[in-house]
Amino acid sequence: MTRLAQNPRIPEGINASEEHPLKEFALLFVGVALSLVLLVVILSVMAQQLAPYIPFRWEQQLTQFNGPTDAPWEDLSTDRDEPVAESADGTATADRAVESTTADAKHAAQAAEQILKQQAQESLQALVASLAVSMAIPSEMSFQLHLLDDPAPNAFATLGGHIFVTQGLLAAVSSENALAMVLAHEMAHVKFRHPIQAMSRGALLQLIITMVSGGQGVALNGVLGQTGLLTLLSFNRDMERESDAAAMAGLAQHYGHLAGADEFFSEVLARHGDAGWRAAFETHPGTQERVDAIAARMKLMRTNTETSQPLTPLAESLLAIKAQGEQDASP
Amino acid sequence: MEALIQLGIFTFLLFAGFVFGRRAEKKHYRSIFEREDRFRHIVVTNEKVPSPEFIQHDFTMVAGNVVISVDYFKVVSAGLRSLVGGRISAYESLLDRARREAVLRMQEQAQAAGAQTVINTKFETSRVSGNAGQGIGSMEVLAYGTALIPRRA
Repeated sequence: MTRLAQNPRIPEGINASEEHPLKEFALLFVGVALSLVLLVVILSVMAQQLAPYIPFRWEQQLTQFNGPTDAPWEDLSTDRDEPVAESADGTATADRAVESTTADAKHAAQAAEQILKQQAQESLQALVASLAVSMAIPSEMSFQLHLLDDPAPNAFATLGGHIFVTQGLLAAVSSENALAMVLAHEMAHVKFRHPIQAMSRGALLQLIITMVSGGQGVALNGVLGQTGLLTLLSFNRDMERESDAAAMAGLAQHYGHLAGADEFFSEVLARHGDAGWRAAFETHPGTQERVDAIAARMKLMRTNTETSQPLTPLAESLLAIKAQGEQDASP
Repeated sequence: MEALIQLGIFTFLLFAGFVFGRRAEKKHYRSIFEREDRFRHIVVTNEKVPSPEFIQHDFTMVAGNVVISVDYFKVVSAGLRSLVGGRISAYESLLDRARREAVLRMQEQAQAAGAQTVINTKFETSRVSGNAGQGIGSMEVLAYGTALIPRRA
């Protein structure tokens, strides 16, 4: 055995591959992305199919933090620093406040506003209860109405039958029919279990992201998580159409006609116009499309009822809070 | 918006990792090839017992160690690879560089000691982690052996 005179030259490419790193990266990236999309689609469809079988009771328990009246969002939306029960008599408190200091007056005004809000919430609750009968809502489902201080007209439904209505929506409608259309739409979401479907999809997506990233790549995790929540926690267009149809059917059953049902959408349309190209990316059907759908349904119903139908006025407490909202806006 | 910013940061890190990592790797390999040729006369083997011709030589331990950092591009690339399995070529080149660099440093030390032969060469490697397994880590390779120095007459 002879000794080497010098170190041998070892061929390259044995221990390290000479392939361009971008090639491998691109291949991996595309492959992983495609299979992830496929997985998400499959799981989304599964969630949509299976989520309605989750008992509504469980859904309610998810959203019960300290009992339904003590939900945390109420503390967020209203600045409540004294118990409502203490000032049960709104007028008496208001009278006393005139003679008292301005701080007291402020308190009293807040208390009065609180009562007004509560009354409005109760009449919303009553309206929903009567609509529930016409909409054939299953008996195990119940709704919790919440009035938000937001001036933007909006309403949404979340898990456990919680429906949120903004004061801006009350300001935007002139009859109970228009309000009922929006409420019935949100109730239909709950009836068809759309919130739990959306949540199941969101949770599954989050799970996949965590599994895939395995805590590695914090930035990647954040990006996927946030975009995922943005796109998947909302309802899709089919859900909205389904809810619109059910809402119209419920309204027709409840009032015997659909007059006034399109008021809210028509007003939104008049104020903002239809967001043409944007509609393709939005979850709700175009506003024009929704108005047209209501008009088509109305036409269908007019064959048996010729005369135009009288609209039901809003409940007094709702009118009161509406008037107050306008008062706040004017000065 | 926040998601977009994070996506921007991620893309920037990925791009920066690729550009600088690739440049550093090319430069390092050029230097490795050049020095390997220069130190080719210092023979490095892993035999444990010196052959009889070295019986009169002095000996000393020589070592070379190197730490190379992983770049962000390699981390992401390896992360993707770990989903499907297979050889992580992004890390292989890193290990290859580190091992050869460690040997080169050991040879340099042997030359300084006046040796032309290094026997009983061994390697050790460990991970010099950034922050508890999170984020960018780096790797260490240590090569050490026995340099045989001819006694001056």
